[in-house]
Amino acid sequence: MSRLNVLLLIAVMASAFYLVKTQYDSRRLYTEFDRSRSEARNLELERERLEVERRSQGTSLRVEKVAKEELHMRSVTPAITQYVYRPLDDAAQASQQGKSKPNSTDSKTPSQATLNQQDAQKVKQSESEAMQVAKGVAP
Amino acid sequence: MNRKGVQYNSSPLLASKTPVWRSQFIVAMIALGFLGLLVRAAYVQVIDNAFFQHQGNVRFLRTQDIPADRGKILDRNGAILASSVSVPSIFVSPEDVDRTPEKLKALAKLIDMPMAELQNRIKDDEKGFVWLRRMVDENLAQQVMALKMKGIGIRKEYKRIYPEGEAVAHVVGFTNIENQGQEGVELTFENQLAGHIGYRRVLKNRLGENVEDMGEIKAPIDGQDLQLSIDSKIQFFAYEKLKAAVQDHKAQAGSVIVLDVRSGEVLALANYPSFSPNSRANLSFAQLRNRALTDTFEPGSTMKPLVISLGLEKGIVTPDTIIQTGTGHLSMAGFTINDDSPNGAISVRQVIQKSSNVGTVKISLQMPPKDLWEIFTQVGFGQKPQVPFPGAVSGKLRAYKTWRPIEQATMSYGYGLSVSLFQLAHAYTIFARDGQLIPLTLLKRDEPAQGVRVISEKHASDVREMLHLVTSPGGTAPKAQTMGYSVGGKTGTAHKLEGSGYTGHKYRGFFVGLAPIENPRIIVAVMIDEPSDGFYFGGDTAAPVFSQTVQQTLRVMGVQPDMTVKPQVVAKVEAETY
Repeated sequence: MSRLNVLLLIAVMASAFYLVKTQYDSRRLYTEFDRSRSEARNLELERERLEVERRSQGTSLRVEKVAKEELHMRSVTPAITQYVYRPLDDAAQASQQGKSKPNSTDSKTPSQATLNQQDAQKVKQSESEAMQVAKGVAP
Repeated sequence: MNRKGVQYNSSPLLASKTPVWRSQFIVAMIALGFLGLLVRAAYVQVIDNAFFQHQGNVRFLRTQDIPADRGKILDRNGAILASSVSVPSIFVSPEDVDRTPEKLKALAKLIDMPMAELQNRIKDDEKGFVWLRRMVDENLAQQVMALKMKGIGIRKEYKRIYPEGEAVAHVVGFTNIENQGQEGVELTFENQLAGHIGYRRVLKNRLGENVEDMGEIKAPIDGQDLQLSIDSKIQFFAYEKLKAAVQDHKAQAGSVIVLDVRSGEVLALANYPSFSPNSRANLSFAQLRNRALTDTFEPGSTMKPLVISLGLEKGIVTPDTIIQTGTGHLSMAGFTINDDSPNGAISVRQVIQKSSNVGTVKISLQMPPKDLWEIFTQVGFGQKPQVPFPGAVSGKLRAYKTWRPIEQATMSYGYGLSVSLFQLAHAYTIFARDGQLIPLTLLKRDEPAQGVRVISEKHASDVREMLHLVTSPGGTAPKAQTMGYSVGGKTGTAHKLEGSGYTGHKYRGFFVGLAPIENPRIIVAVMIDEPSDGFYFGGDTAAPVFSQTVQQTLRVMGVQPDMTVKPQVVAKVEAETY
C-alpha cells in the first residue's frame, strides 16, 4: 500500500514539474509567435507603403511628363496609328459561328487553320513588344 | 555515587536522559510552521483569491488594441486612389524629458518648431504624453531617434495617401487626422471603408513581452476596399484639358464629366480649381467644391434637344418641318426672345444646329406645359441624382401649374430652371441609349445598365443626327470635332444669374455630347464658368475640352475610329503578308 503511495507521489511530482515546463515553453513560444506576428504586420504595412510609393511613381501625370520631356514622345492620334486587321477576332467569330453551324468547320482546310495559328502568334508577339515599349516609358 | 566505582566506559553525558517533550516540541514547531504555510496557501488560493488574482492582473495583464486597416479606394483598373500607410509620429513625455538646452535646441531644429513652442509643450512636467509632430516622414523620425533623447518617442499612425493628387481629389475626398472620411467617397462610404479596431487581453512578463494570450475581447474588422468606376487615366486627361481651358480662357472654374454609355459608370468627374489631398493647408471653399454635383445653373441651349425630342415624340414636328424664325426676334408678353443671328425659315434639324431660341420656343409653345414638365422630370431634373455623394443637389424645376407662357418659352431654351452638370450629362443618356435613361454609378459595375424608356429609338436616333450637325461646319461647335471619331453634342451659353437679375457680361459655356455618334460609347459634359478672355460661347470654350477628352477617352477604351483619317505617317509601312 505505502509503496503505491510513493509511486503516486512521484507521479504527481513529475506531472507538476512537467506542467511547469510546458507552461514555460508555451509562454516562450507565444512570445516568439507574437513577435513574428507583429513583424509580419510591420512588413505588411511596409509593403502597403511601397505599393503606394510605386503607384505614385507611375501616375499618369508622371508618365506623361517623363514621356514628353525626357523621352521626347508624343501622344498618338488616329492619324499616326495604323489599325491592324486582327485575324484573331475573325477566328473567334468563326468558331462561334461554327458552334451554331457544325458543318462549316469541316470545310476549313488544315492549311487555313495553321495560318490562323501563325497569325495568332504574330499578334501575340507584337502585343508583347508593345507592352515592352509601354513599360519602357515608366522607368 | 561511588568514587571508586567510576566507570570510564560510559559517558555521563550519554547517560543523561533527554526529556521527551523537547523532541515533541521541535516536531510540533515544524508542524506549526507547515500549518502556517498551509493556512496562508489556503488564504491566498481560496479565501482571498479574488484580491490576489486582481493584483496579479493589474501588474501583468494588459488590454491591447488589434489594429484594423481602412479599406483602399481603387480605380476601375485596380490602381490605388487612396490607401492608408503607417507613418511615424513623434511624441514627448514631459515628465521625463531630457531638458538639456543643447539637446532641446537640436530637437527644435530637426522638427522645425520654434523653441518657445517646444518649451510650451513640455512646460507641464506632470503630463506623460504630448504630440510633437504627427505624421512625419521616416527619415526625420530616424534622425530624431538618433538624438537619443530621453522622453522622446515614436508612435506609428495611419496616414491616408492619395497618389493621384488633385486630378481625382473631388471624387475621392479625404479623411481627417483621425482617419475619418470628411469629403467625397471617403465620407459617403465611411461605414464600408472604416476599419474597427479589436481588443485582446495578454499577459506580459517583466520584460514587457507578451507571454500569454488571454483571448480576444473584440475581433478587429478591416475596412472593405472600394472600387470606383473612375478610370484614373481618363480622369487625368479630362482634368488636364479642363485645367488648360480654364486657364486659357481666364475662367473662374470648370467641370467635366465622362460617362460610359453601356454601363452607366462615371469614368471621370473633375473640377477645376482643385486641391492636393495630400497637403491640405490653406484650402479655400472654391477649391473644395465639387461643382459638377453641387453647383446648379441654368442649362441654356443644352435643353433644346430635350424639347425637340418631345416635339418629335408627340408628333408636333418631324426633323424636316420648316420653322419660320424670321429675323431672330420674337416678342412675347413684353419680352423679346432673340437669336444670335437671323436664320429665316429653317428645318427642325437646323434649329438645333444653329441653336435657334426662336425656333425652339415656337415648337415648345405647341406643347402643354405638363408634357414638358414630365420629360424634364423623367430625365431627372429637379430631383437629387441617385448617386452616393455628399452635397449632390437637386436643382430647381417648378411645378408646371405655376408656369406662365413666357416661362415655358424661356425654359425651352434653358432659362428658369436649374440643373447640375451631372444631371445634364445624365439626361443625355436618353440620346445615347436609344431613348432609355440609365442609372449612373460611381462604383464599378460589370453588367450593362438597364434603362427606362423615355423616348422612342427612332427619335433618339433623329436627335443624335441633329447633334452631329451641331459639330459639323455650319453648326455652333465645329471645335468639338475629333480626329477619327464622329461626335455630336449641344452647346450652351448662359448668362449668369447674380442677385436678382442677369449680368450683362458673365457667362457659363457648356458642351454636352456623345461619341461615336452612330453607336455612342461615351457622354462627355463640360462646363466653363465665367470665361473672360473675350470668348464665351460654349462652342469656343467648352467644345475644345470635349473634343480632346473624347479623343483620349475613346483611345484609352480601345474604340476603333469610325471615320477615315488621313494618315500622317511619313514612313510607309511594309505590306505584311499573313
